[in-house]
Amino acid sequence: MAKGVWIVAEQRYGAYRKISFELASTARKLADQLGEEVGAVLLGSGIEGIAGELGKYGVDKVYIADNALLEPYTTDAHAAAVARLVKEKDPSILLLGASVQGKDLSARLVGKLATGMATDCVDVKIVDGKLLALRPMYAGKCYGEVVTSSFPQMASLRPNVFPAVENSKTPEVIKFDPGLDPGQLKTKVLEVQKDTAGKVDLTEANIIVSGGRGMKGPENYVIIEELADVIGATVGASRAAVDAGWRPQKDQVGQTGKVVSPNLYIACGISGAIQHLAGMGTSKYIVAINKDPDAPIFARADYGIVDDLFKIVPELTKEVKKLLA
Amino acid sequence: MNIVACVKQVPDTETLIKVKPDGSGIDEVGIKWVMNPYDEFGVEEALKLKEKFGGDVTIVSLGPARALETIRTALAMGADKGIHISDPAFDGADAYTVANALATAIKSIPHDIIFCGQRAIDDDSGQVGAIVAEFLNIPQVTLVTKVDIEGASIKVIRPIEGAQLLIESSLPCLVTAQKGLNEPRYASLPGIMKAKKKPVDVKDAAALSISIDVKAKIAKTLPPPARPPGKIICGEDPAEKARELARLLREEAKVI
Amino acid sequence: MKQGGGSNAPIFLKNRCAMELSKFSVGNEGREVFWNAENFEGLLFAFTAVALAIFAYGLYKRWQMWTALGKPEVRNDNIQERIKLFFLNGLLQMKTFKDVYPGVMHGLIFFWFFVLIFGAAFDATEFHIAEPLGVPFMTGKFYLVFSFLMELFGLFVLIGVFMALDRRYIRKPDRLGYKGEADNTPDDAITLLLIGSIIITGFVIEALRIHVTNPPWEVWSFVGYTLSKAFAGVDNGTAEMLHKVMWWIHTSIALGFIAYIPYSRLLHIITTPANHFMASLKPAGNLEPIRDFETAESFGAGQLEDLTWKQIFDSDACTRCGRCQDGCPAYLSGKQLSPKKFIQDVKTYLLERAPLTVAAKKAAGKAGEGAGPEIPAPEKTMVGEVIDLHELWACTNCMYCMEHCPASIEHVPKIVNMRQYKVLTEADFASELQLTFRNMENNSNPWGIGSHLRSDWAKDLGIKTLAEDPDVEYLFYVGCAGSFDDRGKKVSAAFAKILQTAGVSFGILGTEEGCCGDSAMRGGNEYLSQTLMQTNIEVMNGYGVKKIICTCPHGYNSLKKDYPHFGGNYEVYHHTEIIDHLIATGKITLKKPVDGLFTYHDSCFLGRYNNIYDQPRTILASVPGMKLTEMERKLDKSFCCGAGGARMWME
Repeated sequence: MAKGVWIVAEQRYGAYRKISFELASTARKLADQLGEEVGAVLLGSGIEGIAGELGKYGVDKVYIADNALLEPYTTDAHAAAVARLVKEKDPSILLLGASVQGKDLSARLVGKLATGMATDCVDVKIVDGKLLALRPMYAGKCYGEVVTSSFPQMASLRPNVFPAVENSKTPEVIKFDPGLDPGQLKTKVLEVQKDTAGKVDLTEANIIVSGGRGMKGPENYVIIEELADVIGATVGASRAAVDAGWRPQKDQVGQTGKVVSPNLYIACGISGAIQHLAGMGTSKYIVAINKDPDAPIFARADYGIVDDLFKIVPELTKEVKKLLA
Repeated sequence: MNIVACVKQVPDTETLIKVKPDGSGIDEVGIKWVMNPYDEFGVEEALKLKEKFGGDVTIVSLGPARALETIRTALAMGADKGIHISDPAFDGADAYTVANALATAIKSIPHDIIFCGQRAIDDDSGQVGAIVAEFLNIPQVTLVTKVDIEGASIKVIRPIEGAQLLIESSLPCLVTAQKGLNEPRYASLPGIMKAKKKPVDVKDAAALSISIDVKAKIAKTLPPPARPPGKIICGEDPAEKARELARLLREEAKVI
Repeated sequence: MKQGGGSNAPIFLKNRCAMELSKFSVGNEGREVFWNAENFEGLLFAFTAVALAIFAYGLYKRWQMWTALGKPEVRNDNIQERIKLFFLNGLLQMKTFKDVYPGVMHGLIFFWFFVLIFGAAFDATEFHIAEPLGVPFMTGKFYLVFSFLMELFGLFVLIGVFMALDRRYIRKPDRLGYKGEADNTPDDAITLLLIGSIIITGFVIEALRIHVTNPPWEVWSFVGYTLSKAFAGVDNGTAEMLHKVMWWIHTSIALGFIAYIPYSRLLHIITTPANHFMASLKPAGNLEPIRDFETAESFGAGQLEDLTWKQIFDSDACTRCGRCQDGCPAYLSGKQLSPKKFIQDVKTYLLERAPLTVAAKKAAGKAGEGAGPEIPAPEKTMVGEVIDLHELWACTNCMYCMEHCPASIEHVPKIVNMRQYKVLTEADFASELQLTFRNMENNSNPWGIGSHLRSDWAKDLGIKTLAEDPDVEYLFYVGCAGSFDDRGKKVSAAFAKILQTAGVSFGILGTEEGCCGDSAMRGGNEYLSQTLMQTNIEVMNGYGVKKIICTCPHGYNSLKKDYPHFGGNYEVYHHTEIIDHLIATGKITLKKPVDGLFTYHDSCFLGRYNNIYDQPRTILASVPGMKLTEMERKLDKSFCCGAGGARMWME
C-alpha cells in the first residue's frame, strides 16, 4: 500500500537550490492532509552535512546516497538510484522540481516506475485521497487538472510558484545504497562552462529587458544593463536601436531579429510596432515603460507605466534588488 | 547511420485555443496543424547527420490520420521514410503509453540515434523522449543545443541554470532538441513533390502488440485564469510606480 | 556618302563625265554624284561586299547565340500593337526622351541614320537607277533642300557626338559607371569617333569638291561651303588628289562602321528596336506564373537556359546607358545591386555560354540522330556567382528600371525568376524570409499573428462580413497591413467610415480573408503565393464577388493582375479611385481644413505599376486649406520606399 509524500531534492555544489525548499513545503502540506510522512531523496557526493537542513521545511526522513558516481548529475546514475529506492519504499506521491535537472530526471523516472506525471505544475492538492495537479498547457492558453491512477503519483513543480514555508522538524537521515553499476552509466559530464554574468542567449532567456528608440543613445543602455544584472535578465533591443548603431544586431528582438518567448519581457522606450511584437508577442508577461500613452505596446502589455524610463528604470532596479535580497 | 526522428503534429502557436464547455478538451475546429517546432530541430539535426555520415532518416509519429501531413513535411525536408502510429485507442493517451508505442516501433528498425523535441507545445509535458529512452534502455541527453558525433560516441552541449554542460554519451542514445540547436530548413519544392512518394508504414495498436494502459489522465481542461487587461500602474512619483511594478511582478505574475 | 564611277565604266557613264559641270546650272542645281571618284566603283563594290560579309557573319554568329538557349516565349503576337511600339520607341525614341539631355543628345546622333539612308541610298538610287533611266531627281529645288538637310543632319550628329564625348569623358555622370568608377570601354570611344570622323571627313570631301567645282548654289551646303574657304589657296590638282584620299578614308571608315556593328555596342541599332517590337504587351508588372509544380525538376531560373530566349535577348539590347541605375532604390541606398550591372552580367554570361552551346549542338548534329548536344557544364553558377546573391535579393520590384529603360528591357521578371530558383529548387534563402513564409502558411499573414484576429480592427464599426450579407456591391479587401498593422488599421477604419458615409454597399471577408500573396510571389515563393491566391479566389468566387476595393497598393496590384492567372477575374479599384469618384459625384464633401505643408509620395505599385497618379492628388486638392508641394522625384520617377519585392520582411 503506497504511503508517503516524497520529494527529490536538488543540490548543486553542496548547496540546495531553492526549489528543494519549495518542494519540501508543498510535500509537507500534502502529507499533513493525508496524514502521512514526508520523505526526501538527496543524492550527491560529500553532501552528508546538508541533509538535516531539509528538516527546516518539514521533511521527516531524508534518504541520502553519498557517492562519487552521483556527482555531477547524470540521468543514468540519479534515475537508477531514485527508482531503486522508490520501488523499495513505495511512496504514494513523488514530487520533483520542474528545473532543467528535475525535468530530465522526472521524465526518466516515469519510465522506470511505469507511472504517470503532471509536468510543470502551478498547483497541487489532495482530492478524494488522490493527488490533483494543475498545470498549464498550450503555452498557458489553457490548464489541465491531472490525476494519476498509478503509484507513485508524480508531479514536477514549477520553480518560484510554491512557497517555501518553514516548519521545523528533526529529520531522520537514512543512508541508502544507490546500487550503481559504473558499467551502466553511459553518460559523462566532460565540462561545465559557467555563463558569464548570466548572459543567456535571448532566445533562451527567462527574462529580457529591452531598450528601444526612447533610449536616445548607446551610453544610456547602462541603466538597462543594471536592471538586467539585478533581475537576472538578458538585454535586448528594438530595430530602431540596432539600426542607429546603439546595440549589436544579435541583440535585436523582432520580426527580422530574434523571436523570443521569455517569462518576462520589459520593454523600455519601445513603441510596440507590429514588427517588434512579432518577435516577443508570446512572452508570458509584458511590461511596458514608455512616456507616450498612445504607444501601441500598452495594448499588449500586462503592466504598463506611462512615465520617463530614465526615471522609472533605475528605481525599478533599486526595488527589485531589495525584493531579491 | 540509422537515424530516427520523432515528430508530433500540434496546433500552431498562434491558433486560438478554445476549451470545450464540458472541460473534456480543446475544440479542434479551425485549428491550424503544424509540426511541433522542437521536433523540427530534431528532424533538421537528423538530416544534417545523414548528410555528414550517410545512412537514412526514419520519421516516427503517433497521431490521428491528419498527422500524416506532418510526417510528409519531414519527408519533404529530406527524411527517407516514415512510421505512422495511428489508432483511436490512443486518444487521451498519456506520455508513458505514447512512449511505449513509439519505442516499440523504433525497436523494429535499426537505430543509432533518436531525436525528439524537448517538449510538445500542446501539452508542454516533455516526458515522452525520456520514457522512450527508458523503454529502449539507452541513455538520454535532453535540451541539447549542439550535437557532435565522433565514432561511437556523441558529445552534446546543453544548458543548465547558469551554465552550459558538455556531456558525452555512448551510442545509441536519445537526444531531445532545444531551440538553438540548428535552423530547420525550408522544404524545397522538389522535396515536397518527392515526399508524396516516400514510404510511410501505418501501424495500429494491434500491429505493435502493445496494451494500452493510461495512468495519468487530464480529468478536466480549464480556460486560463482570467487575465486582467493590462494594468497601467499609477503612482505619485517614479519611485512609487517602480515599487508597485516590482511587487506585482513578484507577487502577482510571479516571474521574479 | 558619295560614290564614283570609273574609267572602265560603261560607255554611258564615260559620257556623263564629260557632261560634268555643264550639266548643272542655276535653276537646275545638282552635283555630279561620283565626282572625282570615277575609277573607284569596282573597288568600292568589293570593299562594300567585304564589309557586308563581315557584318552578315557577325550578325549570323549573334543570331546563333540568341537562338541557342532559352525557353520558348511568344513575342510576335498582336503585330499591330508591336509595330506601334517599334515606331514610338524605336523610331521616335519616346522612352529615350524621358530624360531630356541624353535624349536630345542621342536623338542628334540618331539623325546619323537619316544621313546614311538619305545620303547613301538617294545617291545610289540617283546614280544607278534614276539617271540611267533618264529621270534624275536630285536636281533643282529638291537638290537644294536635300543638300541643306544633309548639312543640318550632319551638323546635328556632330553636335551630338561632341555632347556624348563631353558627357562620357568629361562630366562622367554616375550612371555611366558603377559606384563612382566609370565603366567606359574602348568600344564606347571607337563608335563615337567613327561616327564623328565619318561626318567630318564627309564635310571635308564636300568642301574639297565645292572648292574645285565651285557652283554658286552650293551655299545651301552651308557647312561644306564654309569649310571650302579653308582650301582657298589650294590648286585644283592638289585638291582633287586630296579629295580622292579623303574619299577613300571616308568610305573605309563608313564601311568599317557597318562591318563593326555586330561586334560592338552599335549592335543596339538592331537589338534595341527589335526589343521594342518584342516588348511585353501584358499589364505592367506582369509575372508569368509557374504552371507545372508536379513534374518539373527545377523551378525558376537557375541556369541561363531556364530563362526564356527573350529574357536572354534583353541583355543584348542594353547599351549601358545607366538610367535604370540612376533611380534604383537599392543602388542609391548603397547596395550592390545595379540593374545595369545585372543585365550586363547576364549578357557577359550569354556571350560565354552561347558559343559553347552552339558548338555542342553542331557536334551533336554531326554525330547523327538521337545524340543530344553535350553542353559542357557551366563553370560558374548563374545565380550566386554570375549574379551575386546580395544583388539578387536587394531588388524592391519598384520597376523604375523598366519604366525608364529606353531599350524596353525587363529586369524585374528575371530577378523574380532567379529568386524562385533559390527558394523553390534550392530552398536556400534568408531565414527572416523563411519565417515570413511560414507565417503566411500558418496564419495567412507575414507577421504570424493569429488568423482569428484578422477582423478585430472592424469590431464595433458595424461592418458586415460577406458571410453575414453577401449581397453587396463591393468587397473591401483589407489585406494584412490593413488588418494587423496599427497604422494600417486606422486606414481601414477611416476608409470604411468614408464608404459608410457615402452609402456605398460593401462588405469584408473578415477571418475568411487571406494574405494576397504578393510578398510571397515577389520573394520567389511561387508555390506559396499560388496557394494563397487560390484560397482567396475560392472564397471570393464562392460569394460571387465581382468588384473589389483595396487600400494597399500591393494587394490592389496583385488582385488586379495576378489573380486573373488563376481564375480570379474581378473589377479591382484602389481606394483613391473610389474616393476620387465619391468626391467628384458629391457623395462626400471634405469640410475639415488642414494646416501645414503636405506632399504626396507616389507608391511604385500605384504609379509605375498602375498609372494611378492623378486621383490621390485630386483628392488632396479638394481638402480645404491643403498646401501641397511636389517632391523632386515624383510620378514615374518616384523613389521607392524600399519595402517591395519582399524586402519589408528581410534584413
